[in-house]
Amino acid sequence: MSTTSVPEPHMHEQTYERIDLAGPAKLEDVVRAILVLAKHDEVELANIVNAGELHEVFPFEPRTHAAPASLGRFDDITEAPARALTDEEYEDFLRGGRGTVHR
Amino acid sequence: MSWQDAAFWDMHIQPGILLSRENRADRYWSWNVLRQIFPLSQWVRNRRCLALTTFIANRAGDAIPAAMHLFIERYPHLDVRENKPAVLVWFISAASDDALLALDVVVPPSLGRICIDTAIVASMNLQTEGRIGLHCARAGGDELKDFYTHICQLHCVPIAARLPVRTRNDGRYFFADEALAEILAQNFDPLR
Repeated sequence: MSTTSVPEPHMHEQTYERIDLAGPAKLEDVVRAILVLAKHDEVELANIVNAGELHEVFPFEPRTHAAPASLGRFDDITEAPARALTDEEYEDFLRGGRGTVHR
Repeated sequence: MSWQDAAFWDMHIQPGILLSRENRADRYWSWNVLRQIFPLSQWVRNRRCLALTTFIANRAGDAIPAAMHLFIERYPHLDVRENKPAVLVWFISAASDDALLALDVVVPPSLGRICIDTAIVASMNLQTEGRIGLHCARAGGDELKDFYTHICQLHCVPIAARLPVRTRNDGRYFFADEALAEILAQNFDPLR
């Protein structure tokens, strides 16, 4: 068993849709909703998620991308680094990657 | 944890959790959303998250996600007698035995304890000396509280104690300090 950080060849560009409208969301609306989320206490937010009520404070969902049929071979997995990510790696993570920067 | 891990989980593992008859806090979770949105909400607050996937091999040698973890780095330690940072175990989810069996994983291990061990090791790697904290979700019922108390052997924050969070102390906050983390990590050493 392994906790991993496999190199990611391409950053994932994510867009969002409003749950109550079939269409792409405006970036400013998503940002505003994230700012609202940030005002909640972490445990309070977890309670909202656990109750299945996240859509009430964040009425968006990522535009669906097909789930991969496989995540690769177990033997090819690399363990996560035993340190904090660098700022560059963390930016990669926020963009959808595993936090590994390729040069 | 990449977006692919989250998408795979939501497609192949989460449906079984949704239909589970057990008390599970993670019944309505979408890792696609948790993995992408919640770190951004913490970024606004100048905090970082750590999202990890624990993989297990199935009989064909494929990597199967067996547990998902979203931690907050350098969160205030729940034991306020010590003004130190700790890792907050924000969201952890273990695949059900049925889901793993359906993906041809032979022996599902004790994933709940592995989730706690992962948090402790992450805390050590992040220079917070193994300190972790978590809130035991009410949706997990008494079974989850018993799990953290008796199986994981975490300390429960006394219900009268002050907390470094805005939500009230409902007697379901748990933590490990440095000494306990060291002991718990050693218990897992033979399995690494």
